[in-house]
Amino acid sequence: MKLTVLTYMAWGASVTVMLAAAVILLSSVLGMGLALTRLYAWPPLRVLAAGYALITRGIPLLVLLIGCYFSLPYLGVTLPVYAAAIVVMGFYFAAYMGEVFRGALMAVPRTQWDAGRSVGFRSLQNFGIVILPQARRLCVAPFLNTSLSVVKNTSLISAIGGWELFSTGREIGERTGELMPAYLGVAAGYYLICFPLARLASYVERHSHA
Amino acid sequence: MDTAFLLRILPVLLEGLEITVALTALALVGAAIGGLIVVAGRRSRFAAMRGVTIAYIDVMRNTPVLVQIFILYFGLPEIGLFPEAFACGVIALVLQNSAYAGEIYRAGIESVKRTQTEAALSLGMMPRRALFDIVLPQALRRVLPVLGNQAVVILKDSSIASTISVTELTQAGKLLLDRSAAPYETFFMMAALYLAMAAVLLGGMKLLAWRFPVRT
Amino acid sequence: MPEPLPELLPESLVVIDRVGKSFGANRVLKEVSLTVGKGEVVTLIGPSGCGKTTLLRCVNFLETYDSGAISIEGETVGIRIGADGRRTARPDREVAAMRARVGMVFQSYNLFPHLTVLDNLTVAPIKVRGLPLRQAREKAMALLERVGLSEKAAQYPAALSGGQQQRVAIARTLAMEPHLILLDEVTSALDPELVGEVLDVVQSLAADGMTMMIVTHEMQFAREVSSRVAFMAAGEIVELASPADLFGSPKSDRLRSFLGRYQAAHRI
Ligand SMILES: Nc1ncnc2c1ncn2[C@@H]1O[C@H](COP(=O)(O)OP(=O)(O)OP(=O)(O)O)[C@@H](O)[C@H]1O
Ligand SMILES: [Mg+2]
Repeated sequence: MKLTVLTYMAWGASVTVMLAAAVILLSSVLGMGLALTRLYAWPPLRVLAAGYALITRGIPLLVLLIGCYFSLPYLGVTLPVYAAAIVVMGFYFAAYMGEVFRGALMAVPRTQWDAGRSVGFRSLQNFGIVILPQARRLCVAPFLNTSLSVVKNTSLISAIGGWELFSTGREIGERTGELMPAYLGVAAGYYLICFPLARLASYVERHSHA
Repeated sequence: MDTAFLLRILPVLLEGLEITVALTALALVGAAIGGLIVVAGRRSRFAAMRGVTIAYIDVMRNTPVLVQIFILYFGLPEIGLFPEAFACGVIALVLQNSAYAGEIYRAGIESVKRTQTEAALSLGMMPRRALFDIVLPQALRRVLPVLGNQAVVILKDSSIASTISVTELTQAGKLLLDRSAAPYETFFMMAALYLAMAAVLLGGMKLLAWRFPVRT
Repeated sequence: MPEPLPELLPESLVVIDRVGKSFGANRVLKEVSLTVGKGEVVTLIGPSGCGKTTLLRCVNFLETYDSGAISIEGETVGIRIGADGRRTARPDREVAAMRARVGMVFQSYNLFPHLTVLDNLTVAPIKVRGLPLRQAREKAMALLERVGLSEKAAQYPAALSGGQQQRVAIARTLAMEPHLILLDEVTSALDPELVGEVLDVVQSLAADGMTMMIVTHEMQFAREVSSRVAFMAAGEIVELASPADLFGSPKSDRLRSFLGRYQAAHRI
């Protein structure tokens, strides 16, 4: 009995991990685009990207999830709930990932550009060889923290009918009638997924200052 | 877009907004104070106190607000406590964000040079006064932007209270969506109202940052 | 060096008695003894790392010491020593009360950047000594006048030059009406042309009879301002004499070579 409950939760946890991984991947790609647009694109596009980040970060994810869940059918789009959730969360967290990458790129001193140019690199080379490697080191900790936030927020997918770790807790709780242990179990599940990310983030943070 | 419809749903949403504002305001105040307790525990001279605080921060950082709300609302009745849904929302937001606020305060405090404390102590201030009158004012100014962002996170996370049927803005909107055939209007209205509130919070922080600038 | 007998020096304000201090395995102060009489200006000189700063910080207990005792106006600093020789820490309140009577001026000024110059001068008198705001302000203005900066009262420290900041720091210390002031290389962070204005203020304090312990690398200044000069090396006071004797006829090889190196570095 206990074993089946645990297996069930582990199943839900693996769905959570896969959802989070997909969202992290999508939001990183989009976020990188946003960051580059905000920093180096044609000025009107920069403003647009900044506006996107500002607006996205001012609306609750739950509202976006619910909004799309209700609106998409009217647009004639019928996406499976997971796909819709991944797309919505991907675009939502792109705003955050964008800030992570932009912050890291801006933290590389301007003199590094000049240094690269003085060695004869052209802009794109300069960016790839001199700037990006330095920025990559700087963005690891904030990237991990944002990823942790993604994992926690995948729990909201249950609110639009997706099945993942949080849903297993609700189901087990309702079936066994023991809600407290069920939700504590779910909390433990999230903790086990997030803890390594948090540890890694603070490890990287500590060791990047030295 | 149907403006007549918008005007019809607006009062419903505004009622929800009132509750969102109440949730957010209480959670903000609670987390601002809770954060002080967390940072005190984190910097305590007693190792056991530090350990407990670190464990608390760890648990809060690594579990979703949604789970915490459900534990409070559905779990507590099993041990004979029956908190109201609204209270559960406030408490969950305060619990989680006290941990974050505490860590933000700590980062601020640690960014103020030790020599500031030494100067204050050498003028005869007690350690506590040096902390409150000299270090904290400088620390808080430095982390104001981060605190502002966290305030917006609290506002947004207050929407999670809708999952336990607190009729705040998100829940009010969801109910409208359930029974109307005009999803975009409702959705855009909700989003606009959240954006307006976020703008007020960020504007407030900007004002504070202008009134209390970081000086070096 | 013979141990000073406190009853023969009724006027001594600071008595440092065989103080020892280690950072880990690094023995930074080795049985240092020194008395500072009321109204005296004692200057500490010596090579970098010899323990001057550490000794000064022990005097107002920003640093703890491991053995021996420091007392100010008859009261041991930071610790209480029982009849059986047991050392117990003094409560924060007593340490703070002692520090309120001992001013300290730092190499890096350490003004409070979020407070105006005036508030830098009034915060401690108001919060520590309970002075009424009005009185604290009047006094602060008088002190700013004294260091020649009354027109800067409403400015924030960042708007001031290094020399001005250091003069404000001295005024801030004076606002607490200290019985003793500790100054640690107060001109080392300054551009050369700003050194004079700060040293002038310190000179004027000495002329007024303020008791001071000064760490400095400015030998000419040490010669002019000091009642006595202590030469430290490797955590010990090697020579202690009047400036004329110490600079005029150094006894130890270490002091001779220290002064020789100093002169070589400053000859143009
Ligand atoms: N907080 C500390 N922890 C460990 N070692 C320290 C600490 N502070 C000072 N020391 C060591 O103690 C010794 C004495 O340092 P101190 O700062 O007192 O020297 P100083 O005479 O003031 O030198 P300077 O002229 O360079 O200011 C040095 O070897 C220094 O490295
Ligand atoms: Mg020194």
